[in-house]
Amino acid sequence: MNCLTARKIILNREANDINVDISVAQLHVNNCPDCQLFLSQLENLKHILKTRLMNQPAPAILREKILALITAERLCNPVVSKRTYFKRRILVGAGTAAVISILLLMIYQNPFQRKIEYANPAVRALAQDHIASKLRGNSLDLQTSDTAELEHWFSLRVDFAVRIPTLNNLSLLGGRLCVINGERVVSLAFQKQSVSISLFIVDGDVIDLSRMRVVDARNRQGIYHGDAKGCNVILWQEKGLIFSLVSEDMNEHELIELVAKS
Amino acid sequence: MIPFESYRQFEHLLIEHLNIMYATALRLTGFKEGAEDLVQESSLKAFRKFGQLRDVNKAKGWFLQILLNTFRDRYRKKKRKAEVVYVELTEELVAFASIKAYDQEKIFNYLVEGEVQGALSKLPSEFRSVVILCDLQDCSYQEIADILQCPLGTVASRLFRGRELLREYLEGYVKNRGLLELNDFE
Ligand SMILES: [Zn+2]
Repeated sequence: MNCLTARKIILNREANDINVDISVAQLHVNNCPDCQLFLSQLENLKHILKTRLMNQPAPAILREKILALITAERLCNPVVSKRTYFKRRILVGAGTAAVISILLLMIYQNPFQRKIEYANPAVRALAQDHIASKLRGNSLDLQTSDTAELEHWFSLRVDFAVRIPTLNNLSLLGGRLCVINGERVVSLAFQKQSVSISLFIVDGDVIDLSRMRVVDARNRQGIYHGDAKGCNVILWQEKGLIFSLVSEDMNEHELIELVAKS
Repeated sequence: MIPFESYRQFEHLLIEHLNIMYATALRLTGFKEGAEDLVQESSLKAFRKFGQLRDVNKAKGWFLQILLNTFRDRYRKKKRKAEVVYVELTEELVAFASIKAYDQEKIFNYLVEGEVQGALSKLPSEFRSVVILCDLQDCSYQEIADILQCPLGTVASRLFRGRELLREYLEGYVKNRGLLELNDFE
């Protein structure tokens, strides 16, 4: 048996045909240092995953929130039983009160739950990514100021056509593929004197802008602003994509100036 | 109408599986708020579908299946549905993975959580799901095949390709940190 067949059978052990004899492959591995190293490197990868990405328990507050929502949903359904009229009245009364208080709580905290929860984490995630990348010394996947080269590199890695806007007075350092809200995002590092600025390009449906604050309306669709983790984040939409500039050292107006001049 | 007994039973099962749902969601989305949102939506969907759970011994796979479907629907809503291809693990595929010339165990030991999560998040979602279920949640191939509704051979090949890509991305971080010289990779 050769190395490739042995490796295939071992890696496939839970999916092999019943007539595949694993023992022959195992015997090969036991006598082949190359296959042993190959498999131990895969095991090591699994070990790195397990130890770095340790399972975290669900937060207690999340559990309570879900149980409350489920109770409310159950109480919304008509309860048919042989209880006495009085008992039923109490149950329905308590149920209605519970549902109303939960709804009030939800409305108070979160009138358009999906939209608000979606917009703010996205701004936070952009800020977080900008800071993390800065801390790592702008560790870029591709270090170049050539926009055509970057656009081509990204076009192989994201699901949309990448066009890098010109931002005046900024020097482009390079690009990095990052992930925000589970989506692949284009991240470009710029510098102005010693100030770091990140430009993100995101598919249009990843961030919901509709609940965000518009700070500049000169562009037909407006420029939105948010802040998180000490960073200013501005966002605007163009041809189905969302562009975002993030900086710790520039305020929203200075960031808007960069867009306006482009 | 949801009888009180089944409501209690659902509550028990949910509490039992909430941690694995959250841990899986956290690695799928890569951020806490996203994971909480995903678990909440999936739990409510599961409650509405509880009557469809035939065997409570398979509750773990059932909850995870709802979670993964919700994730896919949410994040891939407007994307064109890709044609699903079921690929077996073959010798040709195995041949793509080479033995690393550098001391992988020592070098990868420098990696921190953010880097490993970053690499995991870069994986296409069909590979990411299998790696999370197998390597982080210790699901068997059979359990994963049931959850993702694909053949066993596809689980093996996606796991293999997912791990290979992951290794490539981790090497990228290691390289960026200057822990390896460029020529170590050749
Ligand atoms: Zn061998």
